[in-house]
Amino acid sequence: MKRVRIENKATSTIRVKVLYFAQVREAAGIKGEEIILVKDSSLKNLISKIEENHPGILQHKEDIQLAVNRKVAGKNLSLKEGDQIAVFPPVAGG
Amino acid sequence: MYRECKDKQNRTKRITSAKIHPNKILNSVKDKNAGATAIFFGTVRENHEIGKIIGMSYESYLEMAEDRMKRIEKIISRKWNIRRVRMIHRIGELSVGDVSVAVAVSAPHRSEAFSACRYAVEKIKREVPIWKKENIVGGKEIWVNGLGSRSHGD
Repeated sequence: MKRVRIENKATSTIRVKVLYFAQVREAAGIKGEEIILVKDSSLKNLISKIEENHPGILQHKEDIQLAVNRKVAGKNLSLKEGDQIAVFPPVAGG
Repeated sequence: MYRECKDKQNRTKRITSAKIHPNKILNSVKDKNAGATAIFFGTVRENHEIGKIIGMSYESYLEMAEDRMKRIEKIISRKWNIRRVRMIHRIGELSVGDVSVAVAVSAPHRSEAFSACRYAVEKIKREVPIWKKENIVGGKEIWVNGLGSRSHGD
């Protein structure tokens, strides 16, 4: 019984890597981190968790852009184990 | 060949922390079937509403920025009849007058060269994950707002 419970726990979460850039990096106070989420979490769920962990990011809430594995992504996208998520303000190169 | 922009695997680097040399950019798009070459350089300028700028700090989401730059090259190659394209953006600490971005396009005729070069510059500014912070005399630092706001290299 005990073993079954542990196996369930092991497969019920996913680990993702989150990177912060520019103003968002400064607001978060870190360049990146690993975050553990419940399996089948969406990008929206991840953002809620990030905002909880780093309330400073809320000041950029309206502007924040997201990329999953280097591609711009919408908030309803489901995340999977090992995804790399980038959180950043509007780009300003040139 | 634009050797400075190649890494150890001899791949073209589109994001670099090294100084951008205009002549090397120009040479990298030379083509015997090109009758026109359009080249754009974005440079760090000194004036700012609240004071003089000492320099700019650029940062990038490197892997995604390389992907995006490559994608822009493909798009302009499809949209216009061009021969060669070279795009490069510098990151790190830049001083006033330094080249931050360069786009060179060679084509049979000037119309394609101008159009493709202009389009690529606008795309870079809107789609490539790069950010910059102005370092003002007196120690103040200001992030430049992206998309539609005042920005350098215009």
